[in-house]
Amino acid sequence: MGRLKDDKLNLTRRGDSSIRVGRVRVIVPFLLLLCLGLMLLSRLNHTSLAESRWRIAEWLSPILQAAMVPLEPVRHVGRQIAAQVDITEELQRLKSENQTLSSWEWRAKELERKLADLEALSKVVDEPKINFVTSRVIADSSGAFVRSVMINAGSEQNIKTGFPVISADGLVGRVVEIGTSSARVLLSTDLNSRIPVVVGDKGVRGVLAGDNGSVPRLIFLPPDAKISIGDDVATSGTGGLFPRGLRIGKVTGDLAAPRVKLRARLDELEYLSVLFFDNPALDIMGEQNLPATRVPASKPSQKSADGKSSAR
Amino acid sequence: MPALRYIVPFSSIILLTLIAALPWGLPSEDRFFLPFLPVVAIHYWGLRRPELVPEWFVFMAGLCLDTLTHGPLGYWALVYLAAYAFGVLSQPFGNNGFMARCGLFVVSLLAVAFTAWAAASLYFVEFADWMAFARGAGLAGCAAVLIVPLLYVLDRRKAAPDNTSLMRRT
Repeated sequence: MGRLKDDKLNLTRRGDSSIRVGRVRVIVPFLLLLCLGLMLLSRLNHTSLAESRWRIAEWLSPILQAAMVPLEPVRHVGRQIAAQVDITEELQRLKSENQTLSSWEWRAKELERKLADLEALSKVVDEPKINFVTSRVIADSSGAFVRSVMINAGSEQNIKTGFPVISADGLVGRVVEIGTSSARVLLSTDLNSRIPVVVGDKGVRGVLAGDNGSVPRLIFLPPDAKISIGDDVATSGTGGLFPRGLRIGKVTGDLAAPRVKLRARLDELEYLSVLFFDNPALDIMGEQNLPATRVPASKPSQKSADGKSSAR
Repeated sequence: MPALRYIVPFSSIILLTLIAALPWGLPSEDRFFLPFLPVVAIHYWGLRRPELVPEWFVFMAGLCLDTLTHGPLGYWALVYLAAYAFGVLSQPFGNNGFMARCGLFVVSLLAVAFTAWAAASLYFVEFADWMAFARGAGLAGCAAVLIVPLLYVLDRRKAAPDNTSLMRRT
């Protein structure tokens, strides 16, 4: 009798004829072929596929946000354990860093004053302040193919494709897809990420290229470039994709094939700030995807909790 | 309520798929094992109760993860279907005791990892780093020590008495 009742559930059960031990149904090879077809379309970067994928991802974002609620205590405990493990080493590092920073503070104030004087003399046009919104990371994708995160802010918060994204430590990446209330951020370590950078005191220009590893490469450096291990790397602003001077990291590895150790811990992202940096390059090219109601950078719909108006 | 029998397999696979997409704060090299977690549940249900887990559901779980992780569509769906197929194909050998089932699981996990590596290599048209897949499968195998007993307990609690003839018991 029970089995007869079960037969009503045609949608979710395999028929009696299909319950043959050790044999898969014909639908499995069919679905496998469908998977291969979808992979091929993904490889060809089919636009309709990308659009529908993002629509589904946005539809699923409330579920992810809800799932983040019980996850938060787990992450907190993990952070506490990690902090306890290397607390002594961290204390030593902070002490030495504090000593260095104390001397730099005085020097920075002096330089700031001199720079202000020089700018006043040269009648330098002020760079506009960049506003931002801060949002939470709700999904992470660090598989074999892509390095990106999903945040719970989208076009409702006036976020647009191409906006740079930073954490408290430095540049994280840029927005590549937006929905109404969520957006996807391509991390600087992703295979498709290319960021124009400036290296060291001499301002050597190059490009930071992700390769899906944790330490992206520095490419297109001039042949006679003089860089050394530990040199600071920041955005150069070339091309207008990113504002100039966003901190990225330090040069590391072999100078023949230099890499950059990122300041931002991309594995532990929790909250990210999206900079309202309208990309002049896209304006020139006549970007079609941007909405007509482009909000000026000085009027963001939201600000972070601390109310800061500048992200520099 | 016969529909209740489907809740445990469905929810276990959905939960593990969701876990695979959430940001756990793990290093990117180490978090690659997360998408292998649903493989544990899919193989378990494929081996023990394939009648409760339709193929389309396994496909949809993989597709859902592909969407959330922005990887190529169909990749994890293919891997999960492979895990399901390996589970179903292992059924004739699943009655030979606990050690036999453990062995079947390890062999299936290795086969799934190989399938994942081969699909990734095919997608990139170059050999992918096999270490990432091996480490992912290894960590998922370790996680299975926690997941499988839980599934077993839930499976026993929800088992309908009238369907025992269809089940493959220990």
